[in-house]
Amino acid sequence: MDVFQHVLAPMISSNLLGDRYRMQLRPMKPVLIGYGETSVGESLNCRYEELNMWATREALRDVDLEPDDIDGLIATAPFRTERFPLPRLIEYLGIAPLNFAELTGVGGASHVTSIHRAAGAIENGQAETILVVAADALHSDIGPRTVIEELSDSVSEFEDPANIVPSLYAHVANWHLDTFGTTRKQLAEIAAIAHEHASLQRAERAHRQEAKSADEILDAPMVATPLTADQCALISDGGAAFIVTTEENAAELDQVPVRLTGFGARHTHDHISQMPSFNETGAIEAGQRAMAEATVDHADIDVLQIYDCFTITVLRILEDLGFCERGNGGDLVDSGALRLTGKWPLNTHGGALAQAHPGMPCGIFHITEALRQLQGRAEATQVDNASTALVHGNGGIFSTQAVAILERGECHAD
Amino acid sequence: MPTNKPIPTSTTEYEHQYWQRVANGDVCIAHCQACDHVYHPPRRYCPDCYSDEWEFEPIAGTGTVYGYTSIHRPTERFASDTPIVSAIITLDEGPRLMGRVACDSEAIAVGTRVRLDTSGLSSDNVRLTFELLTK
Repeated sequence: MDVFQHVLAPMISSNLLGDRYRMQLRPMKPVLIGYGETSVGESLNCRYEELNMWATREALRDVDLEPDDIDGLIATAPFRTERFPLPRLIEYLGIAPLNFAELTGVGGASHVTSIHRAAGAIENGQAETILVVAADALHSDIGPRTVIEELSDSVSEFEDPANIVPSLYAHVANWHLDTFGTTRKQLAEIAAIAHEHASLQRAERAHRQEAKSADEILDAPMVATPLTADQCALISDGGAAFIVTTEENAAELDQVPVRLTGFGARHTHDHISQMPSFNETGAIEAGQRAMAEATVDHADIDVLQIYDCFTITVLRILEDLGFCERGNGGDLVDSGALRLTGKWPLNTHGGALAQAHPGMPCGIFHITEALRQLQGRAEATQVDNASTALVHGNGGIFSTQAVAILERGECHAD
Repeated sequence: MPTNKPIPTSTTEYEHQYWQRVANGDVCIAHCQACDHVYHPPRRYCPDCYSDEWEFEPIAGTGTVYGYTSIHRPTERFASDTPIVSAIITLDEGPRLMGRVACDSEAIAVGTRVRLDTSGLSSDNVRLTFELLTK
């Protein structure tokens, strides 16, 4: 006997099992829909929970949803980890009860990974409308000096604790310069692009809003050769949130749905001294997998959102994702392809180098910017007809990598 | 308050053994006797075959610079050491580790040959320091 046809189907049609089971018997297609951002800057005078609520409020308002509509949460722990940040947020945000809740754990790759986790939970019927949120008060609550000191204290005793995070990345930067003849100015140009894109944002959306030339970036104080202060991520307050729901639900909401069409992740090491090769990060496999799943080629990518904690991060990842030949990242930067008018506009919000870096939440702005672009809401930095975005996240010291392909869907709402 | 050059307050006996050896000028690397894997940092079980049958073996102390940087803005407690030339060195035994190189920032590049200088190591100083190996 066909159990579905003779037993389950009649029960479903007569609603004996209730809406909940009827929902779960049909695979749900997930889409990203609304997003929200707090202001970013140095002195928002908000605590972790307050900033998370601010970002959530903006995301809910964006699609006219209520806190009760949320039945799943993916959040990011604060810089100073609380023992149980997740239940704390669930209660604080007024979104209890939930069917699904997770804390991210792969640093700057967390938020790109969160898209995939949320989509999977919706496909599995574990939850229907998931809030992904990340916000922290890195600047005003903890302070730049303390952040640097505490991050340095967490450097393994097997790597000289005089190293700070920028100097760990700097090892790879010098390797690239020496191996391929990349110039310091080409590295600095990546920060110049970020500053230009940040300068075009509304004031509340960019921590730094001034355009800077590569020469000015090279003139900033040296942190660890070859990285000057302007080639290192900011330390900011702020955060963002986005909502992943079913295609059906999204059809009722007044925003353009965005589909996750490809995803890949690859995690390789902890100590920078144990990175298998400075010429290869896990982004190679993560990118290939994501692009193959989405059946897109480089020419199909309209907007590039690459995690940019340092200029070298962008250079390394552009090569690993295949946007140029290995070693030719400097030439790609010089070509103008990464500027707003170029072939692959890079970090059109200004990225961690110029827009905002509130610590763990940094990578979520790369996603909300991709949504802005694909939904045609990117204002001064809107890329014409942006329909496909590649979003990348990097955590640790090139340790964790995640790549997602996002594509603009059809808008059903009137 | 952490001092400038402490023996790291390691949490496991194997890591502590490592730093004790460094303090004595006896810089070693873990060599698994079960699968022959040579690895760093040391840990209770070989990361390749999970065996606990491994030994600390002395290293020759020679190696080649893989990555490097000159740190101008370290944290407060290392401020007096600047600029600090930090390098990731591929030991001739194969594994990589991080150390400082006693040289001018401009004198180092990928491929520079270096040799461990154990003369300054003590319980007050366990920073691995290399010198340029000139032909």
